[in-house]
Amino acid sequence: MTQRTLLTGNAAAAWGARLADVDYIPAFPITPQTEIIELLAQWATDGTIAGRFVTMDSEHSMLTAAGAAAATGARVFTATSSQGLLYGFEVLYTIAGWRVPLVLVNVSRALASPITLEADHNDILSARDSGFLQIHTETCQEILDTVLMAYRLAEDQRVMLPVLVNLDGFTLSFTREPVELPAAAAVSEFLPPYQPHHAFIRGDRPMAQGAAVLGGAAYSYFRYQQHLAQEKALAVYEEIAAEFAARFGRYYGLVEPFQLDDAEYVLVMSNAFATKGKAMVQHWRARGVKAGLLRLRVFRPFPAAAIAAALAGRKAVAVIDQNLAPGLGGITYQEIAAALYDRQERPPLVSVIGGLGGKDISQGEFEAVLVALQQAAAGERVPGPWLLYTKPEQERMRTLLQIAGKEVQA
Amino acid sequence: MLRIRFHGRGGQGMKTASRILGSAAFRAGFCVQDSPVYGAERRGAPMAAFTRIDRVQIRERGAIVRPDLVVVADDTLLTDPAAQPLAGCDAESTVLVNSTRDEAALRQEVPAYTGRLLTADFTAVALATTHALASLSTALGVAAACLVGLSLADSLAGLDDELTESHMSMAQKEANRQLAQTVYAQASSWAPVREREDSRIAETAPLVEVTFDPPRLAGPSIYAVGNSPQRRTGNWRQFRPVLQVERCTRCWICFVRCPEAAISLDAQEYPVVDYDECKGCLLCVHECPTHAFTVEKEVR
Repeated sequence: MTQRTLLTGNAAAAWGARLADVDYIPAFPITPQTEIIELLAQWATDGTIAGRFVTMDSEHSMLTAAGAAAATGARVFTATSSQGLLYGFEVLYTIAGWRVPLVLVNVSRALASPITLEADHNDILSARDSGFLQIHTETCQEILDTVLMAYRLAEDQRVMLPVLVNLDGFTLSFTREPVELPAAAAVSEFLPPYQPHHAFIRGDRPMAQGAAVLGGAAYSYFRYQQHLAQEKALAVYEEIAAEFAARFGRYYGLVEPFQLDDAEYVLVMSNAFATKGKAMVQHWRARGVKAGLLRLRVFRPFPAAAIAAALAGRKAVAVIDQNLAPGLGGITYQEIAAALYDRQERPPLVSVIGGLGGKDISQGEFEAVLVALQQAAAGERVPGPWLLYTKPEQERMRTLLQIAGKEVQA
Repeated sequence: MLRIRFHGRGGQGMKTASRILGSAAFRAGFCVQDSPVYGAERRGAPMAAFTRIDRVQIRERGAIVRPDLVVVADDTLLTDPAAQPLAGCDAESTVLVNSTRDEAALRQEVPAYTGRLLTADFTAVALATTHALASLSTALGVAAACLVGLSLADSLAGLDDELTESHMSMAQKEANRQLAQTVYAQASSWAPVREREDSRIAETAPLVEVTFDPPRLAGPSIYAVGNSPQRRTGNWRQFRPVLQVERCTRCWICFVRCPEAAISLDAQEYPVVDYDECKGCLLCVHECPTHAFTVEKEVR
């Protein structure tokens, strides 16, 4: 029976793991770990879920255990956040190289230093070259649905790579909103038990996994195969998304176009703040401005063709990066610019940095972005990366510096 | 450019030999590049080191594919498929082998090789002079320096540069200098290695498109298990432990401690060393409470 209830983003992720009927959940139980793991621990203790829950001494151990368990043929779920993802970082590459299909949820939080708590995407984007597939979510419903789709994608023989599902700390992880819980029977039809064909442990069939290679040619082969599998995952994802929509009535494309059909000015955003961008698009439309939004969802594999098709021919496009690569600029901006490079009708691109450390992007800041889009469309160059930072924020920052005993000029 | 490739086993000092040669050439005013490659570092496992010498800045990196001179520290490597010391050699190459055997005997092992093959027992010379097996690096580094035409003075200067960084005693350093002079005199009887015309024209490589393979192929798993015993490690050994049965109390400590499980027990429960597998670490010699093992230099 389908059920509709209020869930936080954390609970929605845990429900995804529960409905996926996972076999094994290794977890580092301390900060920056999230309620996702608390809820799963509770369910494992009271017998609600059959999967084995084990606490680990670090995210590095947690991810190693997760990858190793997946290599035995178990369906594995785990979760982390920000510094925790970085602490386990080398293992991401390792288990992607093992070609094992687990799902890891990351709750995005800005990275130290300075230490902070709220969301931005430098944590998850640091893992973009690890070999993990990466899907970014905007709503609590999407989190649950994406965990289920992620297992189908990861366990597909044409892909067989682990998947990172991302949700924003606080703005989604602690935020409750209505979520439809699919019936367990319907989920098990969509997501049958994992049947490992290449990496598993069986007493009568010993094997060595994760062998070392030297000389470069063998390494090149294995690493490039990860790329080919990621490329295949684009088409596999679309199959899975279509099937998911047919079964559950919710469709999630590689990217989400919002009011894009006739849009002249387009915002590109991802994760929870895309909701704010959509509200602005509606607001602008009511004013007669032909605005639209493209939300990045599947980030690895990078759907360059879908993005280029959605953006080519627009009057101007603003890529709002909730991340910063110091010395370069916005991370998704670089990839989107590359995707558009060989298109005849490539639009003027504005590189915007907004929402770092969870800083709000106010309506007024969106209005400033629209002005910049209109300038760019008129042929004016808008230098980037352009940090959204308001005068009151700057004044508040000066006050903070004064309180900290620093010499701030009036 | 002169390209010199050293082949040895981990612990035989061929990285140092390549550095002694590199330093000697550097002291003589040449542009030099030297580098080792070990793979997964293990004492006794095959390794290689490379020295390039030129009059102009060297625009090459990594392994030497077509060597002018190959120095082989251990003749068991000649036919080792993991080492392949003669790879890239041709009729114009010079190969210098540290061996107790003569040229004819070695040529029987590598009949396809048509270039110059020099051989001498540098281990014996090194042991006689310094009583330290590690000085094989001095012997072969200086022999190579002589073969590429560097002077004795530059060779000794290069050796000194390397000795400065080592922890050996003054007496050992002096013994190494003596060894260098002995070896240099011996190697002077060989004609020097000549520089060859550099040919930069290569045929375009037959590149292929790497296409998607299913994860059974494209994951680094090995299904053909149990094949590691086919790789015998007995030829890694430079010294062999030999049991003097009359001193053995059958305490089995050697049997328990052998890291390679190369020691088994016979019907009377005396230890037996499997020399096909024993790497010559001599842990058994150090562990034996009754000193029942003696050590013999390996002669093949």
